[in-house]
Parts: sequence; C-alpha cells; structure tokens
Amino acid sequence: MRALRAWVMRLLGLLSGGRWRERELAAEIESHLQLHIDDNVRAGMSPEDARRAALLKFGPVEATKDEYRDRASLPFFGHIARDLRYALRRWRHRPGFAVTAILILALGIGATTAMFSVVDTVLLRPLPWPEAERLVVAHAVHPERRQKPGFSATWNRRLLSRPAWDALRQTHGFASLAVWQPVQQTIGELRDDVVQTLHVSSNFLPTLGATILHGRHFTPAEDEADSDSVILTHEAWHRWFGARPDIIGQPLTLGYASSGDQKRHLVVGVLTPAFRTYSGSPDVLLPIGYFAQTGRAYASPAYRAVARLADGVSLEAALAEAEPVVRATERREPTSIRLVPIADEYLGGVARPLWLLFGGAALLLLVACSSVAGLLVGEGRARRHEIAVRLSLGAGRARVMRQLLVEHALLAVIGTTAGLVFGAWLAGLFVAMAPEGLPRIHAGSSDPRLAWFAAGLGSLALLLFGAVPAMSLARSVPAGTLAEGGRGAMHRRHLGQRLIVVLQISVALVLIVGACLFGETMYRLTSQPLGFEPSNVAVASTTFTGIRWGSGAAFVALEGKRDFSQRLAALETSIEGLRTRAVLERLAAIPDVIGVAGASAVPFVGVPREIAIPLEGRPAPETHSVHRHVVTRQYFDLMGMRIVEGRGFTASDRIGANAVVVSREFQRRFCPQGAIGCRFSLTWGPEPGQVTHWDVVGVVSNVKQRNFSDGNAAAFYEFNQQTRGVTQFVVRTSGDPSAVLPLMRQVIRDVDPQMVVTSTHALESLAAEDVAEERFRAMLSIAYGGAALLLAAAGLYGLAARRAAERTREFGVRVALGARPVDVRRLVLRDAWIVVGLGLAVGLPAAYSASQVTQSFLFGVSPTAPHVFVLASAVLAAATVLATMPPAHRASRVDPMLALRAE
Amino acid sequence: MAKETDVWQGTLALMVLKTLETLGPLHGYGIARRIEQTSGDTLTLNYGTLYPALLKLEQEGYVASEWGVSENNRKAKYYRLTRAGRKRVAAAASEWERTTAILARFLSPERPS
Repeated sequence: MRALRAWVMRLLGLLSGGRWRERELAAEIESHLQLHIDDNVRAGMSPEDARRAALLKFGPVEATKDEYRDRASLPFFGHIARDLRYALRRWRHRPGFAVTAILILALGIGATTAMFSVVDTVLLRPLPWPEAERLVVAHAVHPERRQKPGFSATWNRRLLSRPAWDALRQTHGFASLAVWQPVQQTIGELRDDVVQTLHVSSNFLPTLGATILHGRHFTPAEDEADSDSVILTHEAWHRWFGARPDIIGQPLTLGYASSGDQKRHLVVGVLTPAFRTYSGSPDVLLPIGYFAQTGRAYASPAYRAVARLADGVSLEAALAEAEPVVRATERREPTSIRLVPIADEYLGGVARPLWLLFGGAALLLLVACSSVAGLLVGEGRARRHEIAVRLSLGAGRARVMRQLLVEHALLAVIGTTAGLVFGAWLAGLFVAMAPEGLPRIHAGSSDPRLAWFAAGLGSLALLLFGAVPAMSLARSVPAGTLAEGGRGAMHRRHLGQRLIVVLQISVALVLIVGACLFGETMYRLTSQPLGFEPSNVAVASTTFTGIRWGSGAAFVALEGKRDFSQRLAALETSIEGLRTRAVLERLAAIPDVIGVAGASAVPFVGVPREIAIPLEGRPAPETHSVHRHVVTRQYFDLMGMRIVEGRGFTASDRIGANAVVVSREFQRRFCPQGAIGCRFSLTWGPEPGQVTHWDVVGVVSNVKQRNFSDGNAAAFYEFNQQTRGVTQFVVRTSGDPSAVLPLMRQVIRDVDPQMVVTSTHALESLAAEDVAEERFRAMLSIAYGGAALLLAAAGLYGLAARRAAERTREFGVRVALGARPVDVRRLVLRDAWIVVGLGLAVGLPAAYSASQVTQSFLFGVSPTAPHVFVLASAVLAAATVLATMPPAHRASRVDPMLALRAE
Repeated sequence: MAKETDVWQGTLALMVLKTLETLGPLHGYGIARRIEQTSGDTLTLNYGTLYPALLKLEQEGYVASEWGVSENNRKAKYYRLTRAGRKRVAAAASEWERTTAILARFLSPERPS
C-alpha cells in the first residue's frame, strides 16, 4: 500500500511543476550546508575551511539533486515526456511530414474501422435468437437440382405441404419444427393500409425463442382450426394502438387485399421489441389453422419451415431422418429437403461481399502503413546526421531508439485517434449508402470493441512502420555518416524504401483491379438497355382487382353455360375498363402529370403472369414459359417502349378481336417468319379452359422485367379493352415523380374505396435501388483503389525525389561531361521504372488470384478479364511514373557549377 | 550491488525514523549528525544521500516536513514522524530484532545445545 502511495506521489510529482521542487531542494541543501558551516565555525574552523568541509561531507551536490529528482517523479515517464516535447518541436518546424503521416494513417485506419463497424454490426453481433446455433431453416427443394454455388440464395426453394409438416413433426431430429406463411393484408375497416402478416404455427415463436410481453402464445388447437386470435409485434402495438395497456381483447380488422374479404380478429398477445424473424419484418401474426383441412386434403405446398434441432442431434442426422419423410409425403412432385443453419440463411447473402470489402479496407491500411513507413525511412535518412551527432556525443543507442519510437508512437496515437473519428464518420456514410437488405445495419455501432479494434490497428501499424526504421537508424555508424558531411551516402541503394514502394505498388494493383472489376460491373449493368425510360415515371400498385359478384360466380358454376360465362367475363372486363378509365382520367388531372397508363406488371414493380405456351410442331409436354401482360393503349408510349414493327393498340381493338403485341424476343422465338400475321394459340384466354388464337399486330422492344441483369423475356401484351388485369397505374411527370405519389394514392382511393394501394414508387429510384449493392461495392472499391493509387504515386515520388537530390553531384558531373538533360531525366525515370516493374511483377499474380473471389459479384466481366489487368497496370504505371516526372525534371536542370561547388 | 543498496536504503530509512522518534522534529543536517554520532562514528555517510531517502519516506507518508527556524536562527526544513511512521518504527524494530536474532544464530560459530 505504501509503495502505491509513493508511486502516486511520484506521478503527481511528474505532473506538478519541477521548478518549485528544484527551488525547494536548493533551499534545503543551502540550509543544510549553512547549519553545518555554523557548527564547523563554532568548532574553530575558518569560514572557508568550514564551507569546504561541509561540502566535502555532503558529497556530490549534483548527484544528490539527480537522485532526488529521479525519486521525486517517475524518470522514465519524464524522459518520455521530454522525447514527446522534442518530437513536437521538430514537427512544428516541419509540419508537412507529420501532417502527411497522420493523414495517411487516419485514412487507412478510418477506412478499416468503418468497414469493421459494418462487419461487426451485421455479421459479428450475436444473432437475435437464443441458442441460434441449433436453429435451422428447412427448405423443400427439387431433389435433382443442386444449390448453385454463388448463385441467388432463393434458387431452387419450394414450400412444404401440410402433410409433410405433420409427418416431419413426428421425427426425432427436431426439438420443434414450426411453419409460417407470409401474407399481405389490409388493416382496419377502411382497408387504408397494408401490413405484412405472418400465419404461423403455435410453436413458431417458441422455436425462435421469442417471448410474449403481454397476453399469450397461440395454442396447438389453433394449428388445427380457424381462430380469430392475433399477436401484435411491439411496433404494431405502438403504431396502431398507441401502446395502450388494455390491448388484450381489442378487435383488429384484417382483410385480404385481393378478394376484399375482411375479418375481425381479437388481440391475444404482444411481442417484445426484441422479436425478429429471419426473413422480412412482419407486423402481425396469425394462427395457421384456417388452412389445416384444405391443406391436408390437397397437400399443396404452402409452408416455409424453421426448426430447432433436438439436443445432441447434428444437422446431418436430422436431415438424414427428414429426407425420406419428405420424399414420401410430398405427393405432388418429387421433393427433398435441405437444412440451412439460420445464421447462413439470415446473413449468408451478405457475409461474403462484406468480408470482401473489409479485405479491401485492410489492404488499403497496408498501403497506408507502408506509405508512412516510407515517409519515416526517408525522414530517417535526413536525420541520419542528427542522430550520428547525438550518438557520437554519447547518447546511448537505447536512448536514441527510444526517442524515435516515442515519435513514431505519437504519430500512431494521433493517427489512430484521427482514424477513429474519420472512421465513425465514414461508417455513418456507409450505413446511409448501404443497399437495402443488409440485416441490422441500422442497429448502430457504438461498440467499445470498435475502439479496441482501432487501437489494435494502431499498434499494428506502429509495429509495421515504426520499429524497423527506428532500429536501422539507431544502428547507424556515427563516424561514417559524419564523414559524409551530412549529405547521406551516394552508394546507398535505398533498399528499404524501394521494397516499401514495391509493396505499395503491388497492393495498390490488387485494389485497382478490384475497382476496375466492380466499376465495370456497375457500368455494364446500368448500360444494359432497359427497353423503357424509367425517369419521371411514378407507379402505384393496387391489389384489388376483383369485381365483387358474389352470387354471380356461383351462378356461373351452377349453370356451367359457356355462353353465359363468356358474357360475364366481357362484362367484368367492361366494368374494370370503366374503373381504369376513371382512375386514369383523375390521374391525368394531377398537376405535373403529362401522361397516364395502366398495366398488369410494370417492370421493376410487378411480377407478370407466366403462361406455358406450346411450341409449334413439338409434342405437347414441351412448352415454353412466356410473360403475359395487360396494358392500356397509352402504355407503350408512356413507358418509352419502342414499337419496332406493326402497331400498338387502338380503340378499335374490341373484345373478341384478340389482338396482341409481343416483345422482340417473343417474335424471335415464336414468329420466326415475321411478326405481323403471326398467330399463336394458348389455353389462356377469355374462355377458361378453351384454346384461344391470338393475332400479333405489333412488336415492341424487349424490356428488363425484374432488374438490370435480367435476360430478355418473351412477353406478350394483351389490351385491357379485351381482357381484365390492370392493377398498376403509371404516370409520367414533368417534375419530381415522387411528389405525385401521395396524390396517386388519394386519387385511386377516391375512385374506388375497394381498391387497396399496396405501394407507390418512383421508377427511377427503384432502378437505382436495384443496383444499389453493385453501386456500393463499386464506389467503395473505387475509393480504395483511388486512395491506394495516390499513396503509391506519392511513395514513388518521395523515393525519386530523395534519390535525385542525393545524386545531384553525380548529375552535375554528368552534365559537366556533356550529358544532355534528357539523359539525366532518363536516369531518374529508369530508376522509377524498375521499382514500378517490380511492383507490377509482384502485384499481377496477387491480383489475379485475389480477383477470383469476386467472381459471383460480377456482371458482364470475367474476374480474369485481361483488359482489366492491362488497364489497372497501365493506370498504376502511368500515375506512378507521372509522379516521378517533377523530380526527374528538376534533376535534369541541375547547374553543374552549383552542384560541384556544393562539394 | 542493487541488493546491497536496497538493504542500505532500508536500514538508512529505519535509522532516520528511529532518530525522529527519539529526538522529535529535526532537520536533515541534525538527522545526519545524530545517525553518525549514534553509530559511534563507525558509520560515515555522505550527508547528501539522506535527502532522497527523506523524500521517499515522505512520499510513503511516514514523515512530514515543514519549514522552521533552527536554534541558531537558521531557516531549515524540519521533519517529523507521522502516526504511520511511528507504527512503522515499532514494526520495523521488532522485525529487525527477529532478523538479527536468526542471523546471529546462523553466524555464531557453535552454540552449546
């Protein structure tokens, strides 16, 4: 304890002013000597002798003071403080060096911590379910098809049927197996909002480990029979009920958007705010029982499933048991099952790209560290003289080394702090820029782990860039350096600095190749011809297309009269046509709207119906799937789709004429002899179950239906005067399309309160969102590549400048002997070329192997595309050699007389 | 070497504390003279070495100091024992006795058993 007290006192001594202590000690020693002298004089000595004797007895005064000082504070820290003051003084004289080093470090550390914070928030935090490692998502799959590597995570995924669920629950591999179905429903009597509801089995919430805040879970009985129970998420409870405490038993009306049926439910429970599911974010949960009887009877696949593995059962064992069960129970078509750990399901799609970007940031940090190392080595060469003087004046090597290390550590600390601040800002930017669908990206990261991570990076950086130069400097020989007259030796090859620049160039090449690959992917994607013009287009989607006949439909079924059903269909078409026209007229009246149209599936918004079309002259089972659209007359024009052949629809295309417009791709495949007059047959049409013949009247340009990377679909467009199905309304505006979205919603509801607007979008922002992920990757990788390029160029500039400065005398002699400026320039450039060449030689194979991991994120460019490597190398070589031009130019203008006189 | 210094430092500190206990508040010079006299002038020390030792004792809280005036009207810094210092003297003295007793038993040529 006493030792601790002493240590604290010394620490205080370190902080408090040393001057006061010095005076105090001097006074005390003076008083001591005075007392002693008094005694001596009293004993009969002369005053001079008395003083001499007292001093002799006291011992060496300065040594005492030194010892006292060491004791009064903590000398080690005192020395460090002195070193720090010295470093700061040096930097004040040459701020450029320190500022550059700190900025470069901050850049590298900032980029890496920002990316780490994203990785940490999204990937590293514990999953939102207890014992998530035992949770698996069960997918029904087609047994023949395997999961394509690196392909869309939703590929080859089907649903499970009720009998399969019943059977799977009997197996022993699962502690529990829950099923769910997502549905979009309207909420409230007025059907004025659309919510995501989840029909779930009673064990769904317990399987995920979710807890109820108020009320109860669903009961197993509710798996078997219809019930009116409903469980709200915490957020829904707040949004629709203002978090009222007496929520249990409150009524809630939910409706099916497509049929218009409504049902009153009663709230039985509220979830805690921590509740998360692994796909989507539902607002309301309903029991699954309503579907039990029909589900068993028809065995139609309808469920998604999630299971908790039984204790001690591995995923493989559970799968081995479940697979034959599924094969036996799924009667409709051959089906197998695949189990995916929930972590992979939840984060699988995003983990690889994030780690990839993190790797890029780490490489940038490596370049940054080596840049700073290069700076320090260069700086060190300039200090060689100063250090030699200090060494020859008796400073210990350890002392000199400590001085250098303290300076470097100070750089690292300031750089890391700046990097942390920069990184926090950058992380905010990443979150804002991040594409939709990165789970929990908005959870925020104020994790102390982040600070530790940055501190770790800083220390690592210190090791990387600080220790080696410090060691090599402290090892330098004073005599030799002093003899050089402080100019540094000509014969030195700058091996360290050259290696550093080679490293920089090679790592920069890897990053630039990445930037090129992702940049080209973005370019290729967005320069894909969409086949339509998305700018200034707003779309409103509705789901209610039903004309509520009620008894009419039953009557048709009873009568079974073809004639009647045909007339009924025509009547429905007319009624829908009237409604569509009313909506379009009202939409056209909105200010700024310069065009209106209706369609069944607008690109990037709607999903077109897929129709199997038999191929001419082939046996019946061989069919081809085509997209079927319904559009109004103005649609092609409004969307900017070109009529490439024939005509669009006209008012004279009446019911019964069966005129159809097809896409270019459709024509290529099905009407090779020419579009106009081409006729095809479908069992799809106004007469259900009957073959209808369609006459092609025109061909429109191909359209990317789902996204930029979509292929050209064979599509045919029916006219809404001939059939039903317009559910989406499109307007073209003269101003900002998102400004009219609320008005569109309002207008549609005004025309028919039964129509539910499920979503409104500005088409161009949907298009931007579609490539958000690619843009994110492209922007980040280009930023990394650009920064690395800059640093590499700066590194080479530093090397060339120093080399040229040191060879001034040599150049002077050469010029004096008749060398032309261009010869001198060539000498400097040759030097740079060697370093660049070495860097490329190391970097190219590294980039080649690193680019393989980008394979699955590329579009329209191969990870090993030669032109990418050529381009990246050329950019890098050009930039770096350009950076050596100024020093080369300066060297070529050396005045031989001046250079030699400097001798 | 270091060990020897440590022992010396510890011993010196104990002598300082004992001196202050015996004589009451005293300045550095007085302490040095007293230690020399008590040892019967067998112990000669550079008086200067006393001051770092006094500082250490002060940091450890065994002594406190303040400026005062000596009997012959000289300004001097007086050290006095704190309560912790008093306890320390007592503890250290008994410890010292035990140690020397053990050492004596080891070092004495032979003891009649």
